[in-house]
Amino acid sequence: MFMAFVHDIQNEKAMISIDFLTGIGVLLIAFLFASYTIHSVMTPYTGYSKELYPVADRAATLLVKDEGYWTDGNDFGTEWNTVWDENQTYVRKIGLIKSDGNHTIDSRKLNVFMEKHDSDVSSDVFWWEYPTSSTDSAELENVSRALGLEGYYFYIQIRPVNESLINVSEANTAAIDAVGEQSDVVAVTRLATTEHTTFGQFNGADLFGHASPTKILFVIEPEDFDLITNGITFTISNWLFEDTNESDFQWIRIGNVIDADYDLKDKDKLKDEDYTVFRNGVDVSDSVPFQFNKTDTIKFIIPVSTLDDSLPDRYTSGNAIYLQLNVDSKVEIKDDGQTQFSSTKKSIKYPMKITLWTW
Amino acid sequence: MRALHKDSSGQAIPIDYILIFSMSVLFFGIMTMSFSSVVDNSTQQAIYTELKDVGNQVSFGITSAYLSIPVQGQSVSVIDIPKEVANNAYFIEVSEDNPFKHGQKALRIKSGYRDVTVYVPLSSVDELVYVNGSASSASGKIKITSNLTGIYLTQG
Repeated sequence: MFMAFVHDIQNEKAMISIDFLTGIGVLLIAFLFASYTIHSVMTPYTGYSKELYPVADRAATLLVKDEGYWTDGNDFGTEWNTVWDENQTYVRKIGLIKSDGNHTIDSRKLNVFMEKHDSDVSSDVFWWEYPTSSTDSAELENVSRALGLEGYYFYIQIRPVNESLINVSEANTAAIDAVGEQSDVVAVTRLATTEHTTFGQFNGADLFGHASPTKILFVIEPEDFDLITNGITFTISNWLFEDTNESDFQWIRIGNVIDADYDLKDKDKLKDEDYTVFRNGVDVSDSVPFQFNKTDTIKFIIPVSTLDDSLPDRYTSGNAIYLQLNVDSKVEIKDDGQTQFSSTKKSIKYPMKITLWTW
Repeated sequence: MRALHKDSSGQAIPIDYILIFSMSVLFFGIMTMSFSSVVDNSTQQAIYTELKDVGNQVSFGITSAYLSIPVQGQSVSVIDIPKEVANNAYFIEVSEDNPFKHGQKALRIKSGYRDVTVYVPLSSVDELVYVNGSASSASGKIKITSNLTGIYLTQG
């Protein structure tokens, strides 16, 4: 028995149980395959989009239901759009609702950080997007933080519910370009009514200033400064002339202090290259002083760079901005005084669709 | 191969047993370790996902509470949450320790299972109103109280 055992040990032929080895091998491969498959089945639960949706949903809800909030440590308020240009870090939360309790979206808050696109159909309807390819990265960081979307990529587009009012293919292309081909992306849509405010269209019969010689005076109060974020644009039409059909435009002054005669100082006069002026849509900036008649529409554009040079502390001084136009005495004004820029405010309400993509 | 298969003359039975036994131990060992590793990862992932869901549910409750803060008195809402996730209780608190943004608060949900901890952002609501509080999952409910001074999480 022992000898047979020793003999068997010394015999090196066919020492492997091939069938068992094959079985083990097949089982091992099958098990590894099963393990991998089970793990793959579990993988969808790790989907990023599952946690994206609640985040986007909360951000969109606050965007269209909250007024937002700003503070500099001492003062605070919900009109964060008024301090955006001064210091974006003051804005703690971006909310688009007006503070008047009517639950409408304030277009002034939209215009502060979103890019506005004109409609092909109506001059009073727009669509907005943010961010765009030209958005400053520091600003984007502040907007992300104030939207509660820090650490996420996002794109917001706001368009009228009645899409026929805008160039919808342009808006669609902008969204496709911005969002691109993302594997995990969620889109949350909210409906709201926007109240769009415009101002700066004056009737010649409603002008005040210095009566003799005629100098028209406009005033923009600090609460309206967010409407001039991109510079001051205004038009005057339906001029009133005295016994004539022609007058001259000579110069513009801009400042934040007027005297008792509703006059600005001569040092406040802008150079010709500091602003652009159009007569009936034609740029006549190089022809100042120029003649115009009472049926002409004169449009002035004072860029923000000019405001920065002339009134660099306009956001902190608490003073109003005054604009004085020197025209020929043939132009009639209503009385001595100042023409309120806010008197031309016009509000248009229409339903909007706010879509927030997050990835 | 055919020769080896048919040739049984050199097969030592004890060696065969030892080989079979060793290979079986090795095989089942690998199998057990692999399987428990897969199960463990999946359990952690399931807990993570469930806790994220719970956190988002509570965070939305806080957002809703903020949007409906009464001018006078207080508003109380109770949210049902699971008592356990993967057989483990968990703890929810409003934490300053926010991996998303230093200086802002986030919800921290911590499971008893291997210290799985999940953070859910408060969507900057804490910039608008004071938010604080904590609760465990023991009762399956979280109470959210809101008034003009802030929003508070307590045991439901």
